[in-house]
Amino acid sequence: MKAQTKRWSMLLPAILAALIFLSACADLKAIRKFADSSVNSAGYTSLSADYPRSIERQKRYQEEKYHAQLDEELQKRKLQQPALLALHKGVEEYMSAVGALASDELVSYDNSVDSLAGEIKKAKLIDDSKVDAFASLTKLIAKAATDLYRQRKLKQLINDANNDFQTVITAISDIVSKDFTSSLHNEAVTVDKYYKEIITIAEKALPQQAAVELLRDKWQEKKDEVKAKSEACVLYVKTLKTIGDGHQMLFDNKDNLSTKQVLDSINTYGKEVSALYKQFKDLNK
Amino acid sequence: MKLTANQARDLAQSFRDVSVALGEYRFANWDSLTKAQRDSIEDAEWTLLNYSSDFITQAVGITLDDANASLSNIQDVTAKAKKAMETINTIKKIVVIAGAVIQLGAAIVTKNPGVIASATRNLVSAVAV
Repeated sequence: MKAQTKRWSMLLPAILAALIFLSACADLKAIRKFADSSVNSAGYTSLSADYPRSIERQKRYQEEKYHAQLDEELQKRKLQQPALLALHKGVEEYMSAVGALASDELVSYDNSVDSLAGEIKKAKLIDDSKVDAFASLTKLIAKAATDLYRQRKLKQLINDANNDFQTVITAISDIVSKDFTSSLHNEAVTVDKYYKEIITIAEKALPQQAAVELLRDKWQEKKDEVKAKSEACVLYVKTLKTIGDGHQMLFDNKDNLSTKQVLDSINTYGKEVSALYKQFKDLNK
Repeated sequence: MKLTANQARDLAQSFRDVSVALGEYRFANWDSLTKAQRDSIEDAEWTLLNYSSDFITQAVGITLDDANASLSNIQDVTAKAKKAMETINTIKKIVVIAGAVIQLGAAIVTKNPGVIASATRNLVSAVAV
């Protein structure tokens, strides 16, 4: 019995050191931050909401005989809205899950075990020092065990999702960069035709230089509005591409998620996503 | 034959380009065209531009359809991740319950009713959370 106790007391520091190492080496905060920035960006649906409104705006510049066709177009685009928003939501919820698995909160036992230790101390059943030792050991063991589990799950999640995630990111990027910008281009053409016609007529009628100048100002104002929306599309696509690239990097390094190199890389991606998101939000105000 | 998204996009661009070209012709030849001729060209411009918008809508629809399977897979994977988080939270709860059970055991050993009642309350709270 004494030999067994002696053996355990010699092994215990090594076991504790191993547990401390295991519980300390999985600080995935950078992955969490990248995921949080991606959630914000994916959840930004203003560009998708504006897509049918482009038709409404074009309607204002066209004669009534074209309104039936435009109303039909508007309806078709409105019907696409739920599916468009579902793409955003899919990315948002997925990245939210990545962030939650990468969160230290998930494997922290501080609150629950400390609260329990407090109650045990109040009951005066065991020495306070023994309660504290018990609490520390419990937190260490529990964290180490669940941390390994959550790292495995995070790796599995990224591995299982990457191909489909890249497909969905590409789908949203294509829709924004090709179709939304094309729709805005049509809107710009509509505005140009409208203003060019009335300015041409005004220039050929009685001298109305002041009125013509006002019309030119209004025309430029409308063109600038459309241009700002197009620029917001370009920035949003850049953001989506950065999210896709960041996720690809995690996938490519899924066996080394907690290494400094990977965490530093994902930290950079996270900052880039945040900066781009801020830029296109400011542009799209 | 069903269009691909890129084919729909190319058609949208082509129809817009022709609409723009007609408009440039109309304005460049404003004075030499009759009003009827200008109106006829203008009618063609708007019709072509609105068809262009329809091809854009079609391209979006095709892209959404094509992405549907992948979206569904992402949703499944996300659901599995949420289950993994539930497992971790269950483990956390078990750790706390185990601690509360130990406290109750120690209280019973003391045979002190007040302490037993307090320890029992803690265990009930831990299980209820």
